This record gives sequence, structure tokens and C-alpha cells, in this order.
Amino acid sequence: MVARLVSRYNQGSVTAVAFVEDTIVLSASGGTLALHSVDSQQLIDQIKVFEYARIHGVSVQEEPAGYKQGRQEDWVRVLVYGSKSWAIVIVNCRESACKRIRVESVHTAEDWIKAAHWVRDRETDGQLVALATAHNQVIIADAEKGICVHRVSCEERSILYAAAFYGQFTDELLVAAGTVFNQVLLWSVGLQDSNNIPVQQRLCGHEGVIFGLSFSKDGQLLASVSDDRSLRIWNLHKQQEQSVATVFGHQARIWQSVFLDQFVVTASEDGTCRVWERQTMEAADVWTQCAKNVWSVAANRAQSLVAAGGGDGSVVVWSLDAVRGKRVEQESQLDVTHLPPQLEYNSGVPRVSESIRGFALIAWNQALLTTDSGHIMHCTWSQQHSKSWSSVLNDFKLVGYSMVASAFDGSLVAIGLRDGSVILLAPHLPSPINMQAAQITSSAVRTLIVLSSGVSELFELITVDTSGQVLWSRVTICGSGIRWNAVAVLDVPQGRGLSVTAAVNQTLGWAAIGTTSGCLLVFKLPPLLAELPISAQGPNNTAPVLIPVIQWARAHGRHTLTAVVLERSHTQLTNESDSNCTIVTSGRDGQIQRFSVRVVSETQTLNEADNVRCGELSNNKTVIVSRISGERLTEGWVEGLFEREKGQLYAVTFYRKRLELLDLSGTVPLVVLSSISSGASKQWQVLFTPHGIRIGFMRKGHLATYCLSQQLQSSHASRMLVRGISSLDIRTTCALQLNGMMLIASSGEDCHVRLYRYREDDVSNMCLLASERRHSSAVRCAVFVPSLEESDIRYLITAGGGCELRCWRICVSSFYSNPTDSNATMIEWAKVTKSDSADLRIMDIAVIRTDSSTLVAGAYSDGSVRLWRMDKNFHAFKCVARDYAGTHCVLSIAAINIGNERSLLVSGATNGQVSFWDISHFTTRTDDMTCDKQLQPRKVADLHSSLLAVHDVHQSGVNTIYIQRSTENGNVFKGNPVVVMATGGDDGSVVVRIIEIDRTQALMVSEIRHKYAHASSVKGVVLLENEILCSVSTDQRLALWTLPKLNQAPHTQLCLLAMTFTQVADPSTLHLVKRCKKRYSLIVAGIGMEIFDADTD
Amino acid sequence: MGKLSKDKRDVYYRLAKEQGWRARSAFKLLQVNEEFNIFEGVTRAVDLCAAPGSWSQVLSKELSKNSSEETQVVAVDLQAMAPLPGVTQIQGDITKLTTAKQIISHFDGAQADLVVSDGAPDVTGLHDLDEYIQAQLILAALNITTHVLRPGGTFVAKIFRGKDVTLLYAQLKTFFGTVHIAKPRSSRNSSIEAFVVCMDYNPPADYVPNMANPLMDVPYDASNPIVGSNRFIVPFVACGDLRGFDADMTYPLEIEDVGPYQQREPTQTPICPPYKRALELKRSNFFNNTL
Repeated sequence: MVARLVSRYNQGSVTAVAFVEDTIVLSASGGTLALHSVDSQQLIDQIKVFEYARIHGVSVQEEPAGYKQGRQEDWVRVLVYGSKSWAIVIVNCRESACKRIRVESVHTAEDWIKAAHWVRDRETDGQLVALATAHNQVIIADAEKGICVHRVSCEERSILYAAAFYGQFTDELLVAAGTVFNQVLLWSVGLQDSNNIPVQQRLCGHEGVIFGLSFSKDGQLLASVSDDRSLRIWNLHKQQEQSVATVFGHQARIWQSVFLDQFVVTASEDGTCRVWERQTMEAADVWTQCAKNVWSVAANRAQSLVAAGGGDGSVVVWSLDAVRGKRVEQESQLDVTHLPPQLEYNSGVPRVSESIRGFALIAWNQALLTTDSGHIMHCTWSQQHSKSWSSVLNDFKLVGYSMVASAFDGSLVAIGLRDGSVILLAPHLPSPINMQAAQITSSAVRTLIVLSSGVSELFELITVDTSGQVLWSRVTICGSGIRWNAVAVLDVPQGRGLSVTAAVNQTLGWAAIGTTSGCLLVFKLPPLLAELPISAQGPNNTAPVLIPVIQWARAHGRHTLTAVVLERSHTQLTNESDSNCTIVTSGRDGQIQRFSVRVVSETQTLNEADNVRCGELSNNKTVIVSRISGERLTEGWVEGLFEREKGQLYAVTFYRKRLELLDLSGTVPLVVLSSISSGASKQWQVLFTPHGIRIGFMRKGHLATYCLSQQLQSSHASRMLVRGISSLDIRTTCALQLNGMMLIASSGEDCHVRLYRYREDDVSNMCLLASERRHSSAVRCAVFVPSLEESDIRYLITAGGGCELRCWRICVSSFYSNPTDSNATMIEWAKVTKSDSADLRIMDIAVIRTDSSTLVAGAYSDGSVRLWRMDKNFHAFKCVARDYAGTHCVLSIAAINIGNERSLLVSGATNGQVSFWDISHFTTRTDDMTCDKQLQPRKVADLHSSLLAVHDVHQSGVNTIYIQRSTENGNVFKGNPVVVMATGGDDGSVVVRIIEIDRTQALMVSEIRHKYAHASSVKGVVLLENEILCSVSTDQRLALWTLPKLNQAPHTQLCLLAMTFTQVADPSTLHLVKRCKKRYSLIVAGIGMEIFDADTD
Repeated sequence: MGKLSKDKRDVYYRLAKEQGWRARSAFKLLQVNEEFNIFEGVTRAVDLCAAPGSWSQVLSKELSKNSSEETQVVAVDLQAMAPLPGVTQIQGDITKLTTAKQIISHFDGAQADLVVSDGAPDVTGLHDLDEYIQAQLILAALNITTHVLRPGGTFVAKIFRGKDVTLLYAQLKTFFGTVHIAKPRSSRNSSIEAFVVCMDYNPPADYVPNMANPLMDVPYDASNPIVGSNRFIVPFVACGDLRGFDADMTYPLEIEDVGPYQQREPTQTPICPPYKRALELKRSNFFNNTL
């Protein structure tokens, strides 16, 4: 018999990435190198470079400076290395070439390679390769033949975790070596073979081992990343031993860094890349890629794109232009608006000192401006930065003084004047622009706040005059114009400072004010407030005065409280949830604070602690405001806070004339206007529109705006070249063959249950169909319920930690109707989550289905085996039997029908024993579960009485069991059914037993044992019919063994038929799918997934 | 994971606290001894990579039981470790010749009967790299062992049974009469770790111990296949009493034979981790305030 094992699909951690050209990316997973196009997001080609080693690094040959511009050939040579192997790979850049990657040569080094580098001999100009190895040695080898021409060792022989080279020629080659002793050693390779090259410079400071090193382009600086989660920059030129910068930010270890002209990019265990501004070493961006581990990172030559390889197998290309786009450094990036010549709008005498007083951005390309001469101007920007102007109003009242405020979408603009009047404009209504003016107070209007109420067309307007009076009015924009009513006066007690910000929310029933002295005032709104129409002379009646229930002095220290937002509470603390809300404030102390506001029924006198204030309401109720959290956003001031949509908060910060716009739900600034913004004291505005974000501010008497268009944002969006599978260990997979395709379910440590479609004819097409996270702890096993007839509906059972057992209903109809676009949907259908103990784990499950019932057998970590019955609709589990006699954790379980309506259950435990039960009693009985539920409380049978036998099979844990009926001699032995059981143990052995199932016993007929089948724990065994056994182990070998005929045993042995290396590290599951006669697929999963075809003849 | 939960889930963790061992790994050495009798006749023992010191604890306790002579235990680690009665500590690097000389001088010029090493690196998650680093640690331990172990002596070390483990077996076989791979029952079934028990130290005739050059792992070639049945085979032995506790089993807090449950603090709190500074920053809310 012959058999072949061919790897058809592999996805695992991407441990190396590189750009061959500016938009062509190489990525390495296991020993395989793949070529992708960034533009088309397509896989161009892939090739296996190393059979046995994982690729840890890729170095693209660059034409050295001084050589002819541009490449002479269509191909690029790439140096690939991993563990003790290295290879030269040719990548063809010509698009028409059918085979784009070719392996030129593969070589072996004596030691683990930590870095590889293209280098030239200055004398002969010969192309050489420099390899830094794990014992702090450097080997210079001939690139063509792979022969070592030069070998040197550093005097210090520490084990290295990282190394990097600098230099084009061998005589100038510098090595940076990151040791296990937390140091970076710099030494020169030189031209002489030597065993004792002295350390040139020793960089100390890291508190953990060094995982990654990278030189700046000029070789003056070195970046190191470490176990201690820091990135450090060292100045090599100055021979300093201290780092010039140490920055923290990653939440876990940092694996790699790439040193660019403007940025340093780091890749971390926390699943993100961070971008650091090289000059200031400030964090510029965070790219979140996967749940755990970004292993590799590289930039293209133009330094516009960065490719990152994830632990989930994903390859993502991120845009550095996007990072630059949000960092506005130059005036040329701004759009500056000057007033047109006065002749164009000012019919009167031109004023000498005409300038812009105030402005309001009202739409993506429109603004209203007030001028010193008393004009309100409307400005429209066209595509080519040209502007068209129209005068809206010219009033002497506006001369020399105007305060402008607008709603966040620009649909209402309020202009406050020196005489206490306010002009309202609704610029979005059809022109002529709707306008209303009223004198609402006697002294000048100092502050205006326009708040969106949540209902479009309805706005709350707060005006503060120079006497400190705060008037709350309500503006409605309707088709006919503007309706304006006064609501109330909000009282600011003496000594609390001048109010600068306010928020009211009638729905929540609260209002709040922030003052210059940092005081937060909270007002409880009465349910009904009369609205008093405002005419040109002001409110018709005196508005009622509201007194604050809470006065929280120095909520932001002595600093001004700059903005306040009212939110509905996310958590319901009491039954009176309606009266609860959350207040978010910002201040010039650089902080954002959150306060919870709640009303309790009884009168309470609380000791006012640092973080709690109480106030009494008229109806014997108490208001309790407590500070929930405070976080510092900036060294400078937080000047603004907006809620664009429910719960989506944005903040504007100023620090040293730098304006930053932050989305508080994320951690990355959306826009950073560097020193070109003129600071917080000047007017500024952020406008959100569907086209993008526009920020405007006054600068040198002109209006300057910056826009971040949605288009720009999306053109700089990241591109997913390879979609990830799971960045944590996969613990289980199972698959169904459907219409020539495979439906694969997998799950594991990340608790997600995922469904994929895998097509043999198109291996790049492993398509994620559905993903659900319902399990709260690692999932250890997943099994499809055998389908008795061809059906669109399938059921999947999953189980794992916390004793959770779930059934999923999967609809796969389109697999038959439309194979190219087949899909599947998955919903949770039944579950068992309550358990005696949350620490209890289900280690494995088996599903057995007969005409009358479906049973799920679970192997539990407390040594028990439990049998669950599923109802007819798979909508409920019911425990029907238990065996609590086990003294060891049960690791594996299997069940089988053995004919004559008999069923067998087998399980293996950590003590190497396999137990057999006759579960026919349970599989043949149909009991109506709904009936049971009502009549009988809980009746669980003792499974132990059905125990047939316990066999000693392995020395330690029985990791895996596979069982099937013997096909020989008519399935029977002495008239009893016979089964073939294969087991794999932690002891590295594989055992096949032929077992005769008696009415009362399970007797071994014969045994075939391979004691040394694997060098490590066997994690999966399956039987390909009754002829071949397949096993996989932690030693990463997948083996096929021929089984002798039943009657030849026990004199024969398992005979190795084929063995191959699997690129999946720590494989934990092996699943068999029969494609057709003698054609099988084997799915191996662990850290990654690999699918093999096993064809036998 | 809460403390109660860890006690339920890891019975040996709980037992270690109850019996005063500095780490649960103490049981691993005890169980290896149950099977291989490695303490028999041992008067001088060396514990490499000793911190936090549970193996040194076992050695000092068990050796004196077995021997009528006075027994000596030397513990070597890069880090300082809390003192243990009956154990001489050397804070040093096992790749340095001076450390070997220090050990010998503690034995008054005599060589050791037993060298043990339970050292392991912080794993990265890249299994091939972790296994390589662990192999280098064992080879460094073996290198210093060749300086201090008497012929016929025993060497026990932690290994990772990964894809290249056969290479390491081959290397060890050239130095020892018998090599076994032992899996104590107190080591979790799911764990990649196991222990090599190398007995009857018998270096090749031409071997000269040399600390200046590290022992390199042997290359694999046709004569030394890593695949297939002709590779080096090392017998596997599961050790520890089957009736004893199961490291993978979830136990209730009240276990018969153990006595009433009492929650205890660990005997030795963890040493200072490399990410200490990052942790401090996290506690001070640093990460909320940056990007």
C-alpha cells in the first residue's frame, strides 16, 4: 500500500513580512512564503521554502547607493531565514510571469539564525550574506553557494533573543545583539576571523530580554523592544550607555520594531502596532490587528505603508499617510480664508481695521463670519479653494463686538451682541437665510451655547451675559422660520465663578453648568416648564429661576470647567432609573471626569466625601452625585467635549498651541494640529458632516480650517491581505462534507465558535461564514450531530470550561443551491451553563444518534462521565446518567453504535485507563422530555452500573480515542460485536486494540502497540477505514501507519507508511473527513490550522 | 483566576502551600525519585537554576533521609533567593567556569553525585523558539555538569517535548549510559514539559570539558534522522503513584486524606517580573491617559 500526505492549506502565525516593491508584500507563515498585492488584495503566489523550519525573517536585497537607478532585472533576490536554515528566494516582479516565487537555494547554519543581511565585499564587490546566530556569532557566507567565508564571535557568548546588522560592506558591518541578560551589545564584525571581538558599546537599561532591534537609516540610532514592554532609543554616535528615550504604551511584550525617518513602529503581543513620532517619541497611532500577538512588521521603501503579520495568520497593510494626514504640521495643509476686498460688500465708508470677529462653520463647505465693520458674511468654498461671498446682514450693533456659536452640525447659529441682544440664524433653511433677533438681557452677551436636544430642529440655547445671568431658551426651526421661547434662568450662586459651559436635557430632567472657578452646578428640572415666547424686546414674562441642587466646587481643581455633557446612565443603580444620568466634564486641568447622578427616595444625610456630594430635593428625596472616574487626556487643557451620537464622545485638547481631536471611545487622536493652531484662547470649532470633519480656528485675524474628508480617511484605510483565523490556540475542529465543499467548525481558547467554508479547488478560499462568542471559557470540543438525512439544517455541539455545553443550529441551504457563494448561519439553540462548579471543565464530548434519540456524552475534569439527552428539536439538554466513580480527569471520549440496537461509550483518563460502558439502555429509550420536566424533578441514572470494563492502555494520559466497527469477519467474534479502538497517549505511544463487546464485558482480542510512535504527546488519532491509522503529536509529525489484518495480530506491528511535518505548533486536534473512496482530508489545528490530503492506493 | 479557584483547579499548587514547598514543582522531583531512585547514595547534589528553591528544599530534605553521611546541596541561580537551611547558595551564571569552580570548592574538591535543573525561559508562544532556548539552557546545564559531575552520576533536567526534542536526546545519549524521559503525575498532562533522567555519566573518551565554548546541539542529517522510526528513541516513563493526585483533575476544596480546607498564601511570592515598571504604570492609570 502507498499513501501520500500533501499539505493543501496552512494558516498560522505570520512571523515575517517584507515589501518587495512599494505595493507588493511577502509574508511568511510556517515555512511557507506568500506574495500579495496590496492594490488587488490578492494572493499572487506562494511557495514552501523550508520543509521543517519556520521562517523568522525576510530580507529583500536592495541595490546599494551609487548603483544604477532602478533594477536591471525583473526579479528581486530575497534572503529568507528561520531557525537553522536560510535560503535565497527569487521573486519575479513582472506581472505576466506565471510563477512569481522560486527558491534558488536552501542552506543550513550550525546555529539558530537571529538576523540575516545582504552585504558586499568591498574588494571584490561579491554579494555575500551575513548571519547573526544565537550564540553571538556572525557568519559571512557566499550568497550563491552558501559556503561560509568568514566566521567571528563576540567575546561575550550570551544567548541572543534578537540581533540586527548595519552596514553595506563587510569591513563596516556592525552588529547589535540583544541578550537574555537584558543588554544590547554592539560589536564590529571586521575582516579577520576571531573568537574574541570586543564589545564596542553596551546598552543597559531594559528590565527584560530584548526581542527586537532596528537601526535608523543613518545608523546613528538604534531602537530596542523588550519583555519589559518598553521601546528604547539609543544614540550610538554619542557613545552614551543610557537610552535617549524610553516609552511605554503597549499592554504586553513587544516583539519587533521598524525604524523609519519619521516614525518608529512597534509590534506587540497585545495584538497591536503602535506608531511613535520619532522626533518627540510621542504616540502617534495605534493599529489594532488581532486578539494576541503581532509578530512581524515592515515598511515599504516609500515609507507610506506598513505591513504587519498577526498571530491569527492575518496580514494587514496600514497607511502611514493616514498617520501623517492626521498630524497637521504645515500651514500649507490648512485652508486660510481672508475677507474679500471691502468694496465688494461694504457700500459705506471702508473701515481701516476690518477683520473677522467671529465665525461659524455651518456645512462642509460653508461658513458664516462676522466682521469688525458689522457685517455677517456667508462664505462658500468651491473645489479649487476659491470662495464665493455674500453679505447676510449689516447692522451697526455688530460693529466691534460679536460672539458666535453654532450647533455641532451648523444648523443653528447664534450671535450675541454688546447690547444684550442675540441674533439667531438657521442657515440650512432655504434662503433668504432665516433670522430672528431679540434683546434678551441688558448687558453684553458674553457666552452662547447651542445644544442639540436629540430631536432635530429643536435646540437649547444658553446665554450668559456679563453680569453672570444664565438664561436658558429653546429654539425650534420649522418650515416657516424660527420659534424662540425662554424656559428658565439658571442661578449661579455668588462666588462660584462665571459660567462658561452648560448642558440641559429635558428628557433626562437635568441641567449642569461649569464655571471659571471649576465649579460644577447640577440642576434638577421640574417636569413641566412653561415656555415664554421671546419677541424682539425679549421674553414676555420673567422666566422662573432654577436653583442648583448640587454645587461641586473645584471639580477640576482650580481650573476652569470647560465643557459638560449629560448622558443617560449606562448602569441602572436603582429602580428610579429615569432620574439617573451621567455627567461628563472636561477642564483646563487636562482631565475628563465622569459623575453619576441619582435620586434616592429617602432623605439621606451622607458625609460628603471627596467623591460624593448630596443635595436635597423638595419632595424629601436626595440627589447623590458621585465621581465615577477621572482621566487625564493631556498635559494641557481639555477645551471641548461633544456627543455626536449617543454615547460617542469627542474631546478637543490644547497643549502648547497644539490642537488634538480625540474620539474617547478609541485611543487614537483623529486629528492633531501641531504648533500651527493658535491655542485655546482663540475661537475654534469642530464641525462633523457626512463628508468628514472640518476644524476651524482663528489665526492671525483669518479663519483657518483643516478638513479630514471621509474620502481621505477611507483611502488611507488599512487593507487586509489575509484574514486571520484565531490568534489563540485552536482546541477543536470538526467538519462536514457538503456538496464537494467542507463546512469546518473550530473553536478554542478565544471562546469564539467559528464556521468556515473550505473549497478544495480553491485553497486560498478559506472563508469565514459565521462567528459567535457565547462561551465564557475556552472551548475544548466541538462535534457535528450526525445527520440522518440530507438536510439544510445541521446541529453543532460545543463544550468546554465552566461546564458549558451548547448546541448551535446551522442553516447551510446555499451550499446546495449556490455553491460559489455558499453561506451558513449559526444561532445558539440550546445550552447548559449551570454547573456545580465554575472550575469544572468539559474535556471532550461524543455524540451518538439513533433513530429514537440523540445523546451527548461528556468527559469532565472532575473524573466524571455524564450523558445528556437532547430533545427531538435539539432545543434542550437533559442529564440522564452519570458515572462519578472516576478518580482521574477524563480527557477523551467516543461513542459508537455496535449493531442490534446496542451502543458503546469509551473514555480515556489521565491515568492511562480506558473505560467502556454499554449505553444501549439510554440510546434505545425515547422519553418525552417536556413531559419529564414537569412530572419528575430530576432523575439521573447511575451510569456506573453499565460499566463493562476498564483497560490499562497508556502510561499516562489518554489524549485521544477513535473507535469504529471492525469490518473483518462479519463484524463479530465468537458471536459478539467487535470494535477497533485506536488511542494516542501522552507517553508518545499509539495503541490499537481489537475489542469484543460481550453483554457484560469488553474483552481485548488483540493489541498492536507502537511504544515510540512519536517523540512527544500524541494529540490525535483517526482510522482511515480499517486499514490505516493516522496520528499527530506535539512533535509536529503527522504519521500514517498501516494496520495489520485482525487475524495476523498480535504478531505484527504498526508499520510507518508516511510521515510529514506539520507547520501547526502545539497541535491539539486531528479531524478526518472522507472525500471519497481512499481519498481523505485531515485537519490539524493548534496554533493555526493545516489541512492535508491523504490519498491511499 | 481567584485564589479559591486555583486551589480547586490545581491540587498540587494547594498541596505545595500546605506542605510548605516554595513551588508545586517540588512534587515533580519527588515523583521522579519515586520511579528512578535518583537520591540513593547521593551525598553531594547541585541544583541549577534553583530559584525560587523548591527543588533545593526537596534535595536538602530527602538526601539527609537517605544517607548516613553528611549531605551537601549547592543551589545556583542568577537571582538571589531566600536562604534555605542546609543549602549553600551561589549567585552566578551557569555558563561561567568560575561558577563550576565555586561548586567544586564547596564540595572540597569532590564532584557531585547528582545535578538537577528545573530552569525554563519565559515562553514567547513561538514554540520552535521556546524549545530552542530551553534546549540551550539544558546544554548550558549539561556543560557545567560535565565539570562537576562524577562518572556514574545522575543529571535531571526539564525539557520541552517539542518538534526537535529528538536532537537533544541524541546529545544526552553521548554523555550518559541511560537516558529516560519522565513525566511526573504532578506535571499537567496538557503541559509540553517533561524531565530527562540521565544516569550513569560516561562522557566520550576524548571529551574535554570546556566552558569557553558552548555545547551546540547536533545537526540533524541522514545518520541522525528526526523523522521516522530510526530516530533516537528514549523510553518514556510516567512517574508518581497512580493513586496519588491528578494534576489535571478538578478537586473539591474538601478532599479526603488531605484534611479540612484552609486557604493559604503562597510560600514564596513571585519574584520581580520584567514588566514591573509597565505594571506600575498601569496601576497609576498611565495607559488610560496615553493613546
